[in-house]
Amino acid sequence: MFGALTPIEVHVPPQLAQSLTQAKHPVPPPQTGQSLIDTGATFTSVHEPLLVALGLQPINVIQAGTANGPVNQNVYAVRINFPALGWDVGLIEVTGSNLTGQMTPASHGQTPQPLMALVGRNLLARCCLHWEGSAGFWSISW
Amino acid sequence: MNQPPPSAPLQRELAFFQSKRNEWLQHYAGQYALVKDDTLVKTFTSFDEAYSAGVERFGSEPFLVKQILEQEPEQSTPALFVGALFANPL
Repeated sequence: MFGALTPIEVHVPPQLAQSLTQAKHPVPPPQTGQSLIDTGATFTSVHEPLLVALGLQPINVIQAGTANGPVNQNVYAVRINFPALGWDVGLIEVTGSNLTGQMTPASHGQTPQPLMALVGRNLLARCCLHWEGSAGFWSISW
Repeated sequence: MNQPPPSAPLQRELAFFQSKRNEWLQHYAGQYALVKDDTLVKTFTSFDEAYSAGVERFGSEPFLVKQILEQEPEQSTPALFVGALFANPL
Protein backbone atom coordinates (compact mmCIF):
# COMPACT_ATOMS: atom_id res chain seq x y z
CA MET A 1 0.00 0.00 0.00
CA PHE A 2 1.63 3.25 -1.19
CA GLY A 3 -0.57 5.51 0.88
CA ALA A 4 -3.95 7.12 0.99
CA LEU A 5 -4.48 8.28 -2.58
CA THR A 6 -7.86 9.55 -3.74
CA PRO A 7 -9.17 11.60 -6.66
CA ILE A 8 -9.72 15.28 -5.90
CA GLU A 9 -11.56 18.18 -7.51
CA VAL A 10 -10.47 21.74 -6.77
CA HIS A 11 -13.17 24.28 -7.57
CA VAL A 12 -13.53 28.04 -7.55
CA PRO A 13 -15.22 28.86 -4.20
CA PRO A 14 -19.02 29.14 -4.51
CA GLN A 15 -18.93 32.78 -3.38
CA LEU A 16 -16.55 33.69 -6.21
CA ALA A 17 -18.43 31.53 -8.74
CA GLN A 18 -21.60 33.43 -7.91
CA SER A 19 -19.79 36.76 -8.26
CA LEU A 20 -18.38 35.76 -11.65
CA THR A 21 -21.78 34.57 -12.85
CA GLN A 22 -23.44 37.82 -11.80
CA ALA A 23 -20.75 39.74 -13.69
CA LYS A 24 -21.43 37.49 -16.73
CA HIS A 25 -17.91 36.07 -16.60
CA PRO A 26 -17.31 32.35 -17.17
CA VAL A 27 -16.60 30.21 -14.13
CA PRO A 28 -13.47 28.09 -14.74
CA PRO A 29 -14.12 24.34 -14.58
CA PRO A 30 -12.61 22.45 -11.63
CA GLN A 31 -9.08 21.09 -11.70
CA THR A 32 -9.12 17.33 -11.21
CA GLY A 33 -6.44 14.79 -10.38
CA GLN A 34 -5.00 12.69 -7.61
CA SER A 35 -4.36 13.68 -4.00
CA LEU A 36 -2.35 12.05 -1.24
CA ILE A 37 -3.37 12.29 2.41
CA ASP A 38 -0.37 13.65 4.31
CA THR A 39 -0.85 13.62 8.08
CA GLY A 40 2.54 15.30 8.50
CA ALA A 41 1.43 18.46 6.73
CA THR A 42 -0.22 21.25 8.69
CA PHE A 43 -1.87 22.74 5.59
CA THR A 44 -3.37 21.22 2.47
CA SER A 45 -1.21 22.02 -0.58
CA VAL A 46 -2.32 22.24 -4.20
CA HIS A 47 -0.05 22.55 -7.24
CA GLU A 48 0.01 26.34 -7.64
CA PRO A 49 -0.27 26.55 -11.46
CA LEU A 50 -3.64 24.79 -11.16
CA LEU A 51 -4.85 27.43 -8.69
CA VAL A 52 -3.70 30.16 -11.06
CA ALA A 53 -5.53 28.40 -13.90
CA LEU A 54 -8.72 28.70 -11.83
CA GLY A 55 -8.22 32.47 -11.89
CA LEU A 56 -7.73 32.62 -8.12
CA GLN A 57 -5.84 35.36 -6.29
CA PRO A 58 -3.94 34.63 -3.05
CA ILE A 59 -5.87 35.72 0.04
CA ASN A 60 -2.94 35.39 2.46
CA VAL A 61 0.77 34.62 2.64
CA ILE A 62 2.17 32.34 5.35
CA GLN A 63 5.59 31.14 6.39
CA ALA A 64 6.36 27.48 5.94
CA GLY A 65 9.28 25.75 7.60
CA THR A 66 11.71 23.98 5.31
CA ALA A 67 15.09 22.32 5.69
CA ASN A 68 16.60 25.56 4.33
CA GLY A 69 14.66 27.87 6.64
CA PRO A 70 11.26 29.55 6.34
CA VAL A 71 9.76 30.36 2.94
CA ASN A 72 6.65 32.32 2.02
CA GLN A 73 3.73 30.42 0.55
CA ASN A 74 0.63 31.90 -1.02
CA VAL A 75 -2.71 30.85 0.49
CA TYR A 76 -5.83 30.49 -1.65
CA ALA A 77 -9.49 29.88 -0.85
CA VAL A 78 -10.95 26.95 -2.79
CA ARG A 79 -13.82 24.49 -2.69
CA ILE A 80 -12.62 20.89 -2.50
CA ASN A 81 -14.57 17.79 -3.43
CA PHE A 82 -13.49 14.15 -3.18
CA PRO A 83 -15.71 12.40 -5.75
CA ALA A 84 -14.66 8.86 -4.86
CA LEU A 85 -15.43 9.48 -1.20
CA GLY A 86 -18.65 11.39 -1.87
CA TRP A 87 -17.33 14.20 0.31
CA ASP A 88 -17.77 17.85 -0.63
CA VAL A 89 -15.54 19.62 1.89
CA GLY A 90 -16.70 23.10 0.91
CA LEU A 91 -14.63 26.25 1.38
CA ILE A 92 -11.12 25.75 2.72
CA GLU A 93 -7.71 27.45 2.68
CA VAL A 94 -4.88 25.74 0.79
CA THR A 95 -1.30 26.70 0.08
CA GLY A 96 0.08 26.92 -3.42
CA SER A 97 2.99 24.49 -3.81
CA ASN A 98 5.22 23.18 -6.55
CA LEU A 99 4.29 19.52 -7.06
CA THR A 100 5.96 19.26 -10.45
CA GLY A 101 7.22 15.74 -11.02
CA GLN A 102 5.27 14.18 -8.15
CA MET A 103 3.57 11.08 -9.51
CA THR A 104 1.35 8.36 -8.09
CA PRO A 105 3.04 4.94 -8.03
CA ALA A 106 2.69 2.49 -10.90
CA SER A 107 1.03 -0.29 -8.97
CA HIS A 108 -1.69 -2.81 -9.70
CA GLY A 109 -1.34 -2.13 -13.43
CA GLN A 110 -2.30 1.54 -13.04
CA THR A 111 -0.54 4.24 -15.02
CA PRO A 112 1.24 6.82 -12.83
CA GLN A 113 -0.63 10.12 -12.66
CA PRO A 114 0.51 13.56 -11.53
CA LEU A 115 -0.13 14.29 -7.88
CA MET A 116 -1.95 17.62 -7.66
CA ALA A 117 -2.58 17.92 -3.93
CA LEU A 118 -1.35 16.88 -0.50
CA VAL A 119 -4.22 16.74 1.97
CA GLY A 120 -3.03 18.19 5.26
CA ARG A 121 -4.35 18.49 8.77
CA ASN A 122 -6.39 21.67 8.26
CA LEU A 123 -8.68 19.54 6.09
CA LEU A 124 -8.31 16.33 8.09
CA ALA A 125 -9.53 18.30 11.12
CA ARG A 126 -12.99 18.02 9.54
CA CYS A 127 -13.07 14.22 9.43
CA CYS A 128 -12.09 10.95 11.10
CA LEU A 129 -9.35 9.04 9.25
CA HIS A 130 -9.24 5.32 9.98
CA TRP A 131 -6.03 3.52 8.96
CA GLU A 132 -6.43 -0.26 9.01
CA GLY A 133 -2.80 -1.16 8.40
CA SER A 134 -3.03 -4.89 9.00
CA ALA A 135 -5.84 -5.21 6.44
CA GLY A 136 -4.29 -2.74 4.00
CA PHE A 137 -7.10 -0.21 3.70
CA TRP A 138 -8.17 3.17 5.04
CA SER A 139 -11.44 5.04 5.30
CA ILE A 140 -12.73 8.51 6.09
CA SER A 141 -15.92 9.58 7.79
CA TRP A 142 -17.11 13.12 8.40
CA MET B 1 1.47 54.21 -4.42
CA ASN B 2 2.78 51.71 -6.96
CA GLN B 3 1.09 48.33 -7.15
CA PRO B 4 3.25 45.45 -5.84
CA PRO B 5 4.62 43.10 -8.48
CA PRO B 6 2.57 39.94 -9.16
CA SER B 7 5.34 37.80 -7.66
CA ALA B 8 4.81 39.47 -4.29
CA PRO B 9 1.04 39.45 -3.77
CA LEU B 10 -0.66 41.36 -0.97
CA GLN B 11 2.55 43.14 0.11
CA ARG B 12 0.70 46.35 0.90
CA GLU B 13 -2.01 44.57 2.87
CA LEU B 14 0.51 42.40 4.74
CA ALA B 15 2.64 45.40 5.70
CA PHE B 16 -0.46 47.20 6.96
CA PHE B 17 -1.54 44.10 8.91
CA GLN B 18 1.88 43.82 10.55
CA SER B 19 1.88 47.49 11.51
CA LYS B 20 -1.52 47.17 13.16
CA ARG B 21 -1.29 43.65 14.61
CA ASN B 22 -0.56 44.70 18.22
CA GLU B 23 -3.31 47.31 18.20
CA TRP B 24 -5.85 44.89 16.76
CA LEU B 25 -4.85 42.17 19.23
CA GLN B 26 -6.30 44.37 21.98
CA HIS B 27 -9.77 44.26 20.44
CA TYR B 28 -9.98 41.50 17.86
CA ALA B 29 -7.70 38.66 19.01
CA GLY B 30 -8.53 35.41 17.22
CA GLN B 31 -10.80 37.08 14.68
CA TYR B 32 -10.24 37.20 10.93
CA ALA B 33 -9.31 40.58 9.45
CA LEU B 34 -10.47 41.55 5.96
CA VAL B 35 -7.91 44.04 4.64
CA LYS B 36 -7.78 45.88 1.33
CA ASP B 37 -4.83 48.18 0.62
CA ASP B 38 -4.31 50.19 3.85
CA THR B 39 -7.80 49.65 5.22
CA LEU B 40 -9.25 47.24 7.73
CA VAL B 41 -12.62 46.60 6.15
CA LYS B 42 -14.00 44.58 9.07
CA THR B 43 -13.23 41.68 11.37
CA PHE B 44 -15.14 38.39 11.43
CA THR B 45 -15.39 35.42 13.75
CA SER B 46 -14.83 32.87 10.97
CA PHE B 47 -12.77 32.54 7.81
CA ASP B 48 -15.89 31.74 5.75
CA GLU B 49 -17.57 34.99 6.79
CA ALA B 50 -14.47 37.06 6.08
CA TYR B 51 -13.91 35.49 2.65
CA SER B 52 -17.58 35.84 1.67
CA ALA B 53 -17.54 39.52 2.62
CA GLY B 54 -14.33 40.03 0.65
CA VAL B 55 -15.78 38.50 -2.51
CA GLU B 56 -19.04 40.39 -2.09
CA ARG B 57 -17.18 43.70 -1.84
CA PHE B 58 -14.15 43.19 -4.10
CA GLY B 59 -15.12 40.35 -6.45
CA SER B 60 -12.01 38.74 -7.94
CA GLU B 61 -9.70 41.63 -6.92
CA PRO B 62 -6.96 40.73 -4.41
CA PHE B 63 -7.75 41.16 -0.71
CA LEU B 64 -6.22 39.81 2.49
CA VAL B 65 -7.98 37.51 4.97
CA LYS B 66 -5.77 36.83 7.98
CA GLN B 67 -6.42 35.67 11.52
CA ILE B 68 -5.27 38.12 14.19
CA LEU B 69 -2.90 36.13 16.38
CA GLU B 70 -0.07 37.17 18.67
CA GLN B 71 2.30 34.84 16.87
CA GLU B 72 1.63 33.29 13.51
CA PRO B 73 2.00 29.51 13.66
CA GLU B 74 4.65 28.19 11.30
CA GLN B 75 3.30 25.70 8.78
CA SER B 76 5.17 22.72 7.47
CA THR B 77 4.85 20.04 4.82
CA PRO B 78 7.80 17.78 5.65
CA ALA B 79 7.15 15.29 2.85
CA LEU B 80 7.42 18.10 0.33
CA PHE B 81 10.15 20.25 1.79
CA VAL B 82 12.59 17.53 2.82
CA GLY B 83 12.09 15.82 -0.51
CA ALA B 84 10.57 12.65 0.90
CA LEU B 85 8.14 12.42 -1.99
CA PHE B 86 11.03 12.29 -4.41
CA ALA B 87 12.90 9.65 -2.43
CA ASN B 88 13.59 6.44 -4.30
CA PRO B 89 13.05 3.15 -2.51
CA LEU B 90 16.24 1.17 -1.96
